[in-house]
Amino acid sequence: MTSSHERRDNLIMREIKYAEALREALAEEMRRDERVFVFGEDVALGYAFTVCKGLIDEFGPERVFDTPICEQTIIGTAVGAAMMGMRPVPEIQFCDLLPMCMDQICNQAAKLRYMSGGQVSFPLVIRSPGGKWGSFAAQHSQTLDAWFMQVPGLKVAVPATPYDAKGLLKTAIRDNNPVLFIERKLLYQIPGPVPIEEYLIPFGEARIHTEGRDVTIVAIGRMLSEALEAFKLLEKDGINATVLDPRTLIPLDKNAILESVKLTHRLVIVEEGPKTGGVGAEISAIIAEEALDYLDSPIRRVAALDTPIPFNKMLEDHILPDRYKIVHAVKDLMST
Amino acid sequence: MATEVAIPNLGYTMTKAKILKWIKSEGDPVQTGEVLLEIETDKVAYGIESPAGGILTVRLAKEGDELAVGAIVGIIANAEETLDVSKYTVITRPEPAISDSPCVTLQESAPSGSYLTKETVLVSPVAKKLAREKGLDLSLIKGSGRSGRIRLSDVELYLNRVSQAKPDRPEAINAISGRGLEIAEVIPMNTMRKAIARRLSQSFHDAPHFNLLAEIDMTEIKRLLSLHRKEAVAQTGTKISMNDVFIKAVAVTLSHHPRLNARQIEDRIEIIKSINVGLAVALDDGLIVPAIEKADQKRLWQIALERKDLVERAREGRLKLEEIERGTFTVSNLGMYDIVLFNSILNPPQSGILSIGKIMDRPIVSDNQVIIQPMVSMSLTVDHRIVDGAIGAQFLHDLKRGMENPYLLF
Repeated sequence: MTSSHERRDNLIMREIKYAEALREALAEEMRRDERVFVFGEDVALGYAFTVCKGLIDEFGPERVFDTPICEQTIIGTAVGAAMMGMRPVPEIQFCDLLPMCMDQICNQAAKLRYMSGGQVSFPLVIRSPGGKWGSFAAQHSQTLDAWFMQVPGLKVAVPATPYDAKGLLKTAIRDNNPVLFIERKLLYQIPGPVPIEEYLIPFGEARIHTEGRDVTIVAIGRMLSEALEAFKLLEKDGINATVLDPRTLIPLDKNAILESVKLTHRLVIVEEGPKTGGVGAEISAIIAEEALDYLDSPIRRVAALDTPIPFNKMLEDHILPDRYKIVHAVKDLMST
Repeated sequence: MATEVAIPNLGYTMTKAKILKWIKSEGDPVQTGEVLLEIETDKVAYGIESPAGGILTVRLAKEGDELAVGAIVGIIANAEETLDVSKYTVITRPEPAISDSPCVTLQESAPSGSYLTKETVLVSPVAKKLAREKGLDLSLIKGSGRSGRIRLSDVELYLNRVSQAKPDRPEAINAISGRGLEIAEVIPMNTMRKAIARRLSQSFHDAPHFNLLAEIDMTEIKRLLSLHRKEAVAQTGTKISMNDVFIKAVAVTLSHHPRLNARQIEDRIEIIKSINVGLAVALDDGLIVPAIEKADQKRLWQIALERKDLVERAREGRLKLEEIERGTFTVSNLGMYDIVLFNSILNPPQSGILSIGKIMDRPIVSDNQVIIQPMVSMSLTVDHRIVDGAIGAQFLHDLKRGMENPYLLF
């Protein structure tokens, strides 16, 4: 369901990496609005994942600066700056460190616009990468997307392609509400087509990557590329899958999922986070509530096992979902 | 403790029944054994008796509903009991059975009412939804999923089959039946007519028939009958008919030829222990075959007594289903219509049927002389899946030998 706002067909594309797309979004928005500024651990140097690399050259140390290794300081600064009318885009180097700022994000940023009766707004975008990096162990490999779906007042974006990363980040920065912008470490160096011209992607619009009649695979974040690989494997066996990426979890384009399930009658949800209480659980519940009569088989969630992510590569691979687990789940449903 | 009243299985070919009439109303007190309602199957009317004493709390189906075997039609409960009807799984009405009248059904898909069944049918939600919309009976649909789960594709396949089974377009029918022919009368097929049509078409189509013919000298039988008749009338007041003799002779001969007292079920042949010979009885508009149980072990006058009762009740439509379903071999006699010889269609799932013509005095060559003897022609029709030519011929040979030498039989 490519948005009509995007007008992708008319745009001139070139291949850039996910991290570069994010950097372009930041630069464009910083040029557009002087109130936008970026900061965090090693941001001025462009570490750890190169997103902010070089921004200091154009925008100087006042709008691109490093902080101490103290996440509460970063988010506390951002919340205060947003409240005072700035448009901060702080970076938390690993989403595993967001829990240290939980009060500032969930109790302050998410609620104060409501509690002040709209007197203050929070044009705040917290960028932070989640997911596997490869043997980064339990405290640097988590996927916490689902946690923040439970905080009314927050928006949650999880871009899966360079194109979506750029378009969604620009929209997030222009939003007057706090946005948790959860990136993926393993995607940063993956290239993809991105228009030269400026474009925005509205929140709450899913993108359908492939259209098949047999099963709907909803894939979040890095799981999109695994789902697309699974699509190719399934196609060899004559199974045609619709692969759908919601792109933003809050707001969620539930209509796109409902419409697709009504066509395919089968649903598999793939996420990198743990299965229990995950994004898939929420989407499953929506389908059970609103489209049960359209299902021809049970819903299947392909997610991480409910365990801390191990350092050991074999164990890590065992725990995380991948294309083969998706294929297995789909085939299982087809024979139910 | 609530007791369910279900459509009983009255025989192995029975799949459904129609509710003719409710005798008891909701709220009526009933006793065990009291007739609650009358149902009609392909063949018979049957009164369902209350399995328990109490109050007929709920009637779950109404008169005219066609229901599958096992469907629950009512609940008997104590007066003080509150009943949770919701625990019964609701399945759409069984009408229409695809084999009977595929044409009517799906057009008029508005469900006339749902009925309840105890059986759990695994069915996907979307399959259930489609079946509900089309008014289909899920119990008629075979599930291809795990544990026989009915999936969307199964319902779609069923719908396809039904739509293909529909008669051709009206114009096509006209082309076949002749345009412009004036119809004098349209006779709707009743339940029995439909059952005959369905069962015999199926038999004719599925069972490879072949016929063996024999001529039998009836001199000795006639003599025997004249003796026995007096005995039977004296004992029971019933006249022994020639049919009773045929039934007895066939039954005794069958006891030596079990292959002809058999049926084919899927990939196996089942030899039936009990020899129950059915007699085809013509009705005003139909045909029914009540069977005499263990006819090989019964005296002629016993057979006569039972035959008389069965034929009478057959004409009154009061046969029990069991009396029809128990038949293992059929005898059909059209001698009274001066028919010399004919072939029958097998009465499924039986493996044999004997067609008997008129007994006539005929010139026969014996010891180089032409003599006059009472003769009868018979045609044995068998299912070649079960009985080969030689086996059928041996049976007929033994039957002939027995009837010409009745002391071997009786």
